[in-house]
Amino acid sequence: MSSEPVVISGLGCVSPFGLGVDLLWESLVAGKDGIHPIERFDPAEHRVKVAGMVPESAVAAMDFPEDPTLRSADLGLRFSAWAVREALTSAGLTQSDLPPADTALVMATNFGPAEACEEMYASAAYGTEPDEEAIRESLLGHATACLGNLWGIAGPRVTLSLSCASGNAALGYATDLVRAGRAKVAVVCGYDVISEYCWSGLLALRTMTTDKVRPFDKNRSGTIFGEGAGAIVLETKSHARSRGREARVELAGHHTNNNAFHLTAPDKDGSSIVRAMMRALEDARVGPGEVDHVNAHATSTKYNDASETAAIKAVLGKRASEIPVNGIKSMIGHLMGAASIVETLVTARTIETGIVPPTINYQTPDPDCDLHYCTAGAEKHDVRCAISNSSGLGGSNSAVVLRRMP
Amino acid sequence: MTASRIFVTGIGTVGPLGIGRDSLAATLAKGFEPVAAPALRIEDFVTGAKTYLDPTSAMVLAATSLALRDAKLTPESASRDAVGMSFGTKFGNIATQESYLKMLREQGAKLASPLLFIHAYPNTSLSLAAIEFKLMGTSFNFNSGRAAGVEALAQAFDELRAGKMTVMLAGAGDTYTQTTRRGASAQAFDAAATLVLERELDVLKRGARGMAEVAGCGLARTADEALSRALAQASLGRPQLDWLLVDAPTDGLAVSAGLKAVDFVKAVGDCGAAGALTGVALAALVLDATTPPARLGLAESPVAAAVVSADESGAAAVVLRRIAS
Repeated sequence: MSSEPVVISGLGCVSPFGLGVDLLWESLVAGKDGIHPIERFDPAEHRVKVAGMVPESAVAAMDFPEDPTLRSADLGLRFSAWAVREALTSAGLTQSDLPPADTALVMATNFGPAEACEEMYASAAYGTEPDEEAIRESLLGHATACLGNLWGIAGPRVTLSLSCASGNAALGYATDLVRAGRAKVAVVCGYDVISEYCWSGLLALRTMTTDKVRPFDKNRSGTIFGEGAGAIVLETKSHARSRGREARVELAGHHTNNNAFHLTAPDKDGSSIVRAMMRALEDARVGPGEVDHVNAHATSTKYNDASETAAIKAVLGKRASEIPVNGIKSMIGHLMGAASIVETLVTARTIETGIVPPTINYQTPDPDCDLHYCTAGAEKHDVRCAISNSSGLGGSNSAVVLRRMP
Repeated sequence: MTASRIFVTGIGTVGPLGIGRDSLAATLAKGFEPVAAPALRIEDFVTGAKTYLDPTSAMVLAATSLALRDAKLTPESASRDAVGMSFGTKFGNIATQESYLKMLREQGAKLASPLLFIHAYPNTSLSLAAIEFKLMGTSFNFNSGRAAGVEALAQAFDELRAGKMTVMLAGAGDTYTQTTRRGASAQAFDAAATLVLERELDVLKRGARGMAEVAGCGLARTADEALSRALAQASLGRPQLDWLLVDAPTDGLAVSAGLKAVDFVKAVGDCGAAGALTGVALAALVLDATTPPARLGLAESPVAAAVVSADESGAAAVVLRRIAS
């Protein structure tokens, strides 16, 4: 296992604010609300009628010069194709620059090609037998195959699904692929799309609120889900340097575990989140005293925010109340398979710029959530090392440690 | 990086080759002739009654229970924080997903079942195994396609080599529904397989024994390249492979050229992501035996075997080596 740093060299994103990392970042720093009415399907039958939807104008504006046939592809594939292209472009990589055999593609999603899947089963229900192609297009690995072929990636091509911890888990897995010498460059993308399938199910689980998303607020009553894609290019420091790039942020450590407790309920003392953060710090060879910022999972559910606060305090000790903690789901909603990778790319921007985006909609303090949550607006901090936390249904937790390169 | 070798110390399989190690050995002795398997009784493998289990989850729990028993691992054997699981599935819990969608279509969103929805997640089988067997360590769920089982094994292998975990379980499971059966490359079977992997030092410390060494893993776009990478990590060449199991309908012929190979899909059937991991269990049995079953036509005391799995999503391979006595 190599000890050479694995660095972040490119970012890409499709979010409820639209296309691109810059638009996301500017909107977050300004404290904008990216939750919109659902237009893609009729939400009349559903209790919650707003979501962190990618605006239809942004969907229409997505272009794919490298493969125009993508314009008619499943929406999740389009989101991820767009985000991956932006990430590679920002990394200064074209298809001809990528070392095919030494490049890995790691995709992460909760629900995969939701549209293709629903269409296939709808046609099956009405007596039309789906053909092999329809079945293939409904599988979670389909986007990986398509993007792998599109970019000529001949190294590892892997799809992960760990519910809402998928994105960070994929980043950690990809980091280890690079450390183990299985790839020099890893393109990592997390994505998901709001569909009736997931919307009805997530509502049935009673995780969503009809109010605003208010992380850490005493009156928080649930999250609101959203959609999009986040992409990050990882590579060894020496590989980045060999092509004239000086990366500013290292993916220094990670850990993904399971609470081994319950399919839907978090362990209330946050012990599994503590273990995820502690092991990620150990992996990064970073002490808790060096952490300057936590981008929290912060779903705005009663249990998550309290147990995550307890976990942060358990890991960081007395310093916990001094460092900025934020919850950007207050602005974009919970992007499911894209959530944690988008939050990690925002954390990378925080390290680069020294700006911590705010947690919006906060009104009433909760004694169980008593850290500094940046509720008055974006703040300036010298952030050298940060943790991005994530958790998901099924008991998954994944923490990633980012560090500014010297 | 630790210098310790990684051993397979337990296997658990459920599928067309029966339930458990003895069935697997029996079918191997008959040259892949399937055995008459008893019906799976999930209550034999889990504690307490379950409100609901997707068929894939039920098989995975059974296979994992069998593997832990085979490895003689109890909850006290290692810190649960240091016991992890990597799991691979092509379809996820597809039967429950179909049931949920059918209910959604027929009864509307207001009657959507939260129970079915949560059991339809692709990572539910992994999560249930973590809860049932208190696996609080590293946890990864691979959904790439047919190769997902070997990808899970490769991740478990890397995790142990990096010294991050003491024990890693590598599992896979898939169920075919009426819909997905149409996309199968041969006769389709529901199946699950779990292997227990440990570092040699830890195996010796607890007085256990390894069945075979995992010597190398490879991940790539094609089966041929994945095998080359696994062999390179194992410091072996193709001529040194005594036996190759190929679970790759698309390019299986190319990879097996010139080698003593078994086409798993032809010999057994299409078991989704569980096929190749069942193949790894078979290879471990062959390498653990003093004399391989005559029907396989292998040399006395084979030293190295490999399993390759691939489809259009990607490919993965693993090389196993006999543990010298």
